[in-house]
Amino acid sequence: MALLELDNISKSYKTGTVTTTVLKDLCFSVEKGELVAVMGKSGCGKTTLLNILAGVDYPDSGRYVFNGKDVVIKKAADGISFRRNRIGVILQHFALINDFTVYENIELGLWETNDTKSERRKKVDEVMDRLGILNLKNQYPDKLSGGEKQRVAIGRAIVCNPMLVLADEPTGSLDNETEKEIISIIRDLNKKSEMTFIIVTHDEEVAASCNRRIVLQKL
Amino acid sequence: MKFVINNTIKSLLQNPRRIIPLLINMVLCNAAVFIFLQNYECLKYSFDSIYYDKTDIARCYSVEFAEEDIDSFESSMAFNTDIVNRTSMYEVGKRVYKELEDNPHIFFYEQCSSGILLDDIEDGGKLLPFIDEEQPQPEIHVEYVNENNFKAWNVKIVEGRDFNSDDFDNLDMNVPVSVILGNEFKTVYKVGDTINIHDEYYGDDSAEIIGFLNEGAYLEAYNQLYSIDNYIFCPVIFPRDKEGIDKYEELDGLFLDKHRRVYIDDPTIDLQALVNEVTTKNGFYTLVCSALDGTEKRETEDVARRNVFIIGTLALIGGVICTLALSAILYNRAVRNRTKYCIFMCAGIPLWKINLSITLEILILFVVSVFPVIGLSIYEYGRLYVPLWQIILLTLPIIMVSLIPTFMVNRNCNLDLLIRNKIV
Repeated sequence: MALLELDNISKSYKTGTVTTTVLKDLCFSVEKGELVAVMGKSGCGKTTLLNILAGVDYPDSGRYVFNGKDVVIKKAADGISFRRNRIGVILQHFALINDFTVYENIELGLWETNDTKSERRKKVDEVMDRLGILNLKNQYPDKLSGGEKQRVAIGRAIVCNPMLVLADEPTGSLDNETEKEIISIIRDLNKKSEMTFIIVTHDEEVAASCNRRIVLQKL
Repeated sequence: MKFVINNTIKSLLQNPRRIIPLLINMVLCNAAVFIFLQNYECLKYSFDSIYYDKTDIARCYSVEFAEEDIDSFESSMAFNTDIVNRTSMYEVGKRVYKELEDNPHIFFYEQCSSGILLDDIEDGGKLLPFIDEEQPQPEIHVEYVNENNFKAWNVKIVEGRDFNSDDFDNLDMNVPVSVILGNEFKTVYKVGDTINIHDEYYGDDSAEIIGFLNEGAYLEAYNQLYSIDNYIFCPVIFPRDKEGIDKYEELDGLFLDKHRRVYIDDPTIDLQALVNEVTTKNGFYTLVCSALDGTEKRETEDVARRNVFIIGTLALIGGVICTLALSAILYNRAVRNRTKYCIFMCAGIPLWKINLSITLEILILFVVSVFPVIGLSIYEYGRLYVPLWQIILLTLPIIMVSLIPTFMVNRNCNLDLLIRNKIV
């Protein structure tokens, strides 16, 4: 069963009198539990696609169906409620809060759930254990290495057990060795938890480790 | 609300250094509002306490021959002769007086001041703290009044009773004369006490205290204000002439002796026109009515208005500066925290909760910032001169307005900024 379907999605931006079409009649679907790489040259619309999938932006035309329901985003609040507990996001620059400990950064993903404090603690501990960062629980992000930071970011994205995890260049800021570690973690999560991953990447090695790749052409 | 409470507490406790500029700004803000309110209250209080229920239109007049006018001066001399010789013009004068006295809006009152040495009052030393003058032989002001004086001065009896006709008719030296005291003497005497007063001309006399005036009582004469909280008020019969006086022989005092005054209960009456009408009709000398009150209030009111304007303008400028300063601090803070807010949103926390958390944090800081102002006021004055709700009412809008730029920055926070690396 398809987790998401994009049907004839088009998106263009207007700058003054110039209209730039970024996505045109884009169609694809992603099955539950898939690990998909989205590739393409700069300016081909990867980030726009990611924004549409995450509910940050909305297409000019076409349908976006998520888990069998049409996604209608009219304002920012719609996007936030759509993402909540459904979509986790991993970013190239980790996007961690330096004032928060590793534990608190991961716990952020559970603030909008109905979990009690002890339930939250249990879930966060489980995720940290799974990612091998339990020993970093009380550390602050600025004391961590790039790989550790990305693990924390992954932890925050998956702690609420989302159906879809969107990752934007998750290994872009990492060295080769750490990159392999992170890919391995993502693959492992995908395999064991059956979480669906869509990874936007330029990296052939990352794409090669995915089940499928979608290549966007610049218009 | 879990996020709101947790994030508020975290923001407040985690970075005390970051909230210090905010706190200082809010303390200054509260202090500015407090100073403005206190000055305004003091100004209002001092004005109201003197002029409460007083009109700026004159009600008290002197009615007399005008000495500046040489003809009138000669008239007064001529009338003096008339009085001495009891001529027909003297009778005309009595008629004029009677007609004026019969007018329901006109009340004659006394303007006769004197002083009694403290040594001449039994236990007078007790009154020493209430006497302003630091003289070798301090004396207490005494005003001789009739039944209209208190009405003319707009003072009230707050304890005991007012003078009655028996008090004014009391010529029996065996019965103590009734006196009313200014409010300050309440701490020394009570109603019913009898004090012995010695007068060098009229000898010993005893006086019974029948009442006290309201606190902050003033009388206006010659367009000046006199506090009468430490005055003694006696009926016009006192000191009593042992040989007997004709208290109805008032005509001399009416037009030649300047101690007689007229109070009108309706300030719209043109007293001069009314007097002219009566004197012309009876063929009497011209009398001049000069207002004794009103000017002081008009002038003070004018100054008070200007002061309120100055204080108001300063408060407005202060308020704008406070708002701008606070807005700038909060704006910079919001810009610095944009990444954090974007991450919150990325984790599914709605914008309104983020804004609510910021508002709650600022409100808590605001409550904390009020304490130094309260403390300083209590340390300086022993109490809070300005009600707390007034400070809050004026400072809260400043804080709320200052939060607007923050909310505008936050409104533009979204995941796209993070994805496109615009703020990392």
